[in-house]
Amino acid sequence: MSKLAPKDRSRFPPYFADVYKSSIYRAPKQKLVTFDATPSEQTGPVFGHDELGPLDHDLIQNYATSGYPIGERLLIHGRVCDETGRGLAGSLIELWQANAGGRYRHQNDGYLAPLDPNFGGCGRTITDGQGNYHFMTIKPGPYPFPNGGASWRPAHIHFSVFGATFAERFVTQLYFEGDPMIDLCPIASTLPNASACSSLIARLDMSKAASFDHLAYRFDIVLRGPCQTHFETLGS
Amino acid sequence: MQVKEKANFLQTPSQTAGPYVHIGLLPDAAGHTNLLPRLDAEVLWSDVREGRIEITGRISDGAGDLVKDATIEFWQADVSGHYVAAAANDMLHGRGWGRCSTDFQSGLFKISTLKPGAVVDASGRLHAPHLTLWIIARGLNDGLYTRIYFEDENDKNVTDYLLTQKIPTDRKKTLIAKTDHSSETLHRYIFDIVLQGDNETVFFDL
Repeated sequence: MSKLAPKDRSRFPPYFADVYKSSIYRAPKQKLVTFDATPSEQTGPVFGHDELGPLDHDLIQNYATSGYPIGERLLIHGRVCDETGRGLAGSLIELWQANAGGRYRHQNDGYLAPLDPNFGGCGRTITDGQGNYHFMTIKPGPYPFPNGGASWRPAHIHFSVFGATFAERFVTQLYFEGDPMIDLCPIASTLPNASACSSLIARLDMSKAASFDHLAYRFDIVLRGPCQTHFETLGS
Repeated sequence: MQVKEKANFLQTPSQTAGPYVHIGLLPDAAGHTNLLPRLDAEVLWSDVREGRIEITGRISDGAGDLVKDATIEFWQADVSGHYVAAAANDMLHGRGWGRCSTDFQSGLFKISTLKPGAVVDASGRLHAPHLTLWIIARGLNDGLYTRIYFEDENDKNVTDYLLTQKIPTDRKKTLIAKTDHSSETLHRYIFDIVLQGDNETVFFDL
């Protein structure tokens, strides 16, 4: 088991960020305890491709009964890699999202936009040997949320990612290139700088769009990975 | 010869899991049928009777309110103290990983598993039986890690690397599950988690 690369806290949102009201009473106030990772953190669960169903990655089809869901048809694709760019094979990615009207299929979501009878909003896949993944889905809609005043979420897709170790476990959100609501969003505003925010914005990728079928966005995910020496010797 | 820095890919930051995390991670808890089946075993190693434990608890916030929309993942060693990193179908009894959510009404979570064995790390340090937890919820901008140790393993807890070397003495108790004697047939424990304030649970920056 190799040592993990340090987490780059300068790119992560702080636990306490009063722009996002829900964090005010949920953020720990005590300093987090640090220690070098032990076997408990340097190992993690492994998932097999055979644990997933054939349509798990296809949110256009995996809840459809009377037809396809309403919304812009999208291919979301990218690569999971570590800080040196090495792809991570076998990474389980799970995602969830609202439908095109901004409504989640969840008993606690009472937003007035209707449910789509053909959209569940739940998907998952496992990266291939090079760390690549792809999903088919529809573009989620923005929706208001309780945060004081007129707070809206930009269109986003929640991502849950497994690294090679349990210490790398994390959840994040994908935003869409060109969306003016990202800068207005209290949750996106918890990110500490423009570079961190930019890395959560999927880029329109016309090279992967299919005529008369779907648009495509690219979203790459970089995990800490094992500790690397950041220098290599090259021939001159 | 020249020394050149390797291409540097910048880490992807986290965002909160939000209140509807169940759709993606515990679809049956979202309250709708026909979403995808959950990937974890609700009861770990369910075919084993010896060593069964059940841990229940609640999560509270800095205002004293229960956190009823959290999801907890745990990762643990098997009964002999080994972490089994293989896909579930490649193993006889499954893997030491599971998920649960706090109940929307009561705020209670429940973990049903086998008690892990003590772990010895590469440096020979002892880690008393424990589960590693990772907690996500609305309002948590990143996941929180902690550990559950067991009150009735005190002889091992007093030599545990983390408890003896890394955790402030007055906060150790926040990591130790209390024995619940209400059942004669099952080893039950209670582990309450405090996100903020008095008796705040020790969380790790890994």
